Amino acid sequence: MRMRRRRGPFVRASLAAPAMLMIPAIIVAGAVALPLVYLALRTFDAGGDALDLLARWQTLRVLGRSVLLAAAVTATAVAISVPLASLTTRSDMPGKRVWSVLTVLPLVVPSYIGGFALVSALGPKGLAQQALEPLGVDRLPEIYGFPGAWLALSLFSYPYVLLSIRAAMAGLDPAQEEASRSLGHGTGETFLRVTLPQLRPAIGAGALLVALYTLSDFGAVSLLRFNSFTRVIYLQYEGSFDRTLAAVLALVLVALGIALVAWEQQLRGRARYYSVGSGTARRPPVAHLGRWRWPAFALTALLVLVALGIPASVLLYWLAQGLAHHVEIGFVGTAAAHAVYAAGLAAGAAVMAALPVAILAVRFPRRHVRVLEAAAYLGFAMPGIVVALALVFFGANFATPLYQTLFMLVLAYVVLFLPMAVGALRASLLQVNPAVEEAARSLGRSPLEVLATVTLPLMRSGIAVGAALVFLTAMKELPATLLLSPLGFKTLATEVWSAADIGFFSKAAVPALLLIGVSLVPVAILLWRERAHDGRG
Amino acid sequence: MTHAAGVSQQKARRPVITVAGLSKTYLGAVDEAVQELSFAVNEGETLALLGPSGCGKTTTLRLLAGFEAPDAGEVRIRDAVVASATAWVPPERRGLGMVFQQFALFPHLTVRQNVAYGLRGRGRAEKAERVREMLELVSMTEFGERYPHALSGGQQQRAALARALAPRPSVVLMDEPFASLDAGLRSQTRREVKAILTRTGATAIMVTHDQEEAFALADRILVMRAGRQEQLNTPDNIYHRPATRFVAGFVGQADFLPVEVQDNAVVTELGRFGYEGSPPEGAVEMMLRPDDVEICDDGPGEGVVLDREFKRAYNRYSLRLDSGATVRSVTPAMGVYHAGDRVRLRLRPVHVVLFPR
Repeated sequence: MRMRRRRGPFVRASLAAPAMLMIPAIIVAGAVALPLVYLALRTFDAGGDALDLLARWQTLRVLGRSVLLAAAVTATAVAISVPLASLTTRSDMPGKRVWSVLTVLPLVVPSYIGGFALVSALGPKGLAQQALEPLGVDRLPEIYGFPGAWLALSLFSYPYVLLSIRAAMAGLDPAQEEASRSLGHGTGETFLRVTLPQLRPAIGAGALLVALYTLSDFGAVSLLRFNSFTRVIYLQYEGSFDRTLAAVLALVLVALGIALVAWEQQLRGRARYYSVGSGTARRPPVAHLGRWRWPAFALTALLVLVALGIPASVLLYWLAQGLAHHVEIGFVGTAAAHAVYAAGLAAGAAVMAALPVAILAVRFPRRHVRVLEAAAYLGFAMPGIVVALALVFFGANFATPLYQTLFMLVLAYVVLFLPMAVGALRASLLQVNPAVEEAARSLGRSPLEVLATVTLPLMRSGIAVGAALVFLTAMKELPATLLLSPLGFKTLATEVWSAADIGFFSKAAVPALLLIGVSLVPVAILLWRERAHDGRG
Repeated sequence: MTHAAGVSQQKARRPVITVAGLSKTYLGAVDEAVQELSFAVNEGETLALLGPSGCGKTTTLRLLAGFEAPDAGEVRIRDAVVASATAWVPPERRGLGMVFQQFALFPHLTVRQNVAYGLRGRGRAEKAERVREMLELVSMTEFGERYPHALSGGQQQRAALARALAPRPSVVLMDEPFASLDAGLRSQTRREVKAILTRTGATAIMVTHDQEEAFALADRILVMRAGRQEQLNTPDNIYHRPATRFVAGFVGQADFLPVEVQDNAVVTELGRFGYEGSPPEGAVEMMLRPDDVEICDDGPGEGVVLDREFKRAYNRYSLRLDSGATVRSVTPAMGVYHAGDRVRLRLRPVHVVLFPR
């Protein structure tokens, strides 16, 4: 038995978070906080100018527009999802099981592909107008601006709310609703007074996701020419020498995101969460729709037709056009290879960065660890364009050797998607009984050996899920890729965007379809898990 | 049996673990989890830490194992200080084995791999031989290739014990080793574990809240309450000569009868008993176990039957004495008395145990 001497009191020594974990976690938190800190410093440097810029009429208008769009999209998503969740899980609507899959699928359409599909279908001289021209329709309602951005973002983000509500519904105890019925409340009243209040945290969590998605979206608002924060920031960045305004706007946008997260936490308050994991003993009762069966069916079909039918038919139309006119598609191979390479690096880096944070968060939940964990989740509230912009500034001014290298792009991906990796690792580590690690220690293994021989093998599935999520999300990321890719490094996402931006839709079709294929994987896993959960009991 | 007792007597002089003034308060907690604990465990001995949940017994075990660090005091394994204000040896270098409450078998390893995990640094042949030996010891030879999830609770328990004993630890620590087994399996597994510990001559410290378990397995019992040591003694003395009222009540049924002490005798309403030693100051009570109180079959006397609990092999009666005190009595289930019957009682205490009233 060798002895280790310690200076000072050893009281918490054996149980304080080990430096082996703290140091990497602090580096990770620092890297994640870097963009935000840099933007803040830059804004602070500008001093009074920054305040002037902030108070400018133009800035306030951008703020107002962004908030309005986020509110409208979130409200629409909730309004669609609450009835849709009930219809697809607990009613006798015809084809319920098929609809329950199809209504989630719009999630696989990245916003810039959805945006391009809407422009191509409903824009001036678009496919719809061409089809309607023989009937004497020569003008469709304006798609550019607010209506198009609202439509695109609502259609392709509402499934976040839908999935969240469905997960919560699966965890509800049907006996509560039966109790309410036995106490003399009808179906509708029971839904409003018993079911809906319990779904509130789920609706809030889903709505938060949609609001953040809308605030941080760059592709759809750009293609549909709606001047929200992200587009204005990008235009400022592209078009002017003084980039202070871009920095100030970016900071306001991040503040908005963080405020939203805080607000949602506050609203959730101490409300007890539904228990998703435990499931229910029995299947919930099926609501009989009666004469509303077919109208419900028609509305659901209409939604699916617009949200899935439009992108699918537009992309297939342009694919056919492209093939017919022999549009060059050789670039797709290179773009796909680039995308896989960058996303692969991001997945590896994100999992490695997440590991010390996740272990600390689960095994050493002290106050200073909470701060580190919160920093790791910062990417959640930071739009890609903001992270990219900050890293561009930072690289150009302080890290010139790294500027315009793949390193910066991978760093941006890690900052943006670290929350996914931490979440997945955390969840799998929570399943590992700490006594198992203690058993390994008592059998003579050092902490590092225990990590290698016990903890990591038991976290395998979480590591795989985290890496896959980061990989698939990074594949389709647009704004950071656009700003940070080294010269000539084009990915599927940037190819879609640059082709769609100039209206060369037939060139965008193939990479867009590939990206949708990529997005199908995590959504398929999600649906499969939901079904597996549902199938119990 | 006599031989084994002789061996442990002979070894009893060499403490393996010595604990002195051990104290621990968890961060953010107000009360001390463990206060000023001092005891020693001898070679080949099984010590039980017994107490209600939250009394600090598991914390004590974790302090010994090195999963927690004490605020004060010292832990010594043989001659080496492993925890004190100036020394700290991490758990992997303390050479103690541990059996966890839920067994904590590695779910990704087979039983054989679990048992071999602690045998690092040994030759392949030596390792295989030791694993075979351990599996045989716990009668698990045919389950070596199974994964933990495919084992019953009792088999998991035995695999965990084999894993802990494989590296020949100086002491094996067991945290509520039978608590996660169902009642039917518990007594059988208890006997198996006792046999294995005896056969290997292992020194063991076990934590339990179940007095029956402690009495069945331990050579000595340390009763704890609210982080403090109440009494450390053999099972017999713990039961018959409890040091505190708490111990008296925790390890068995106890009633307390007000008595007076007069020159080397205790005077009760049920008779006089010789008493040597110094009684507590002031008014005193005498502890009575139900088996100290006998119902005599010879007509009415000083007790009224309140109720009878039928325990198959015997009856347990609650009785009210004329003074208003109640006592309990266990009587072989031959004669039956009914509520309201007046009976004559006789006390036959093994030891006279007095507490201040």
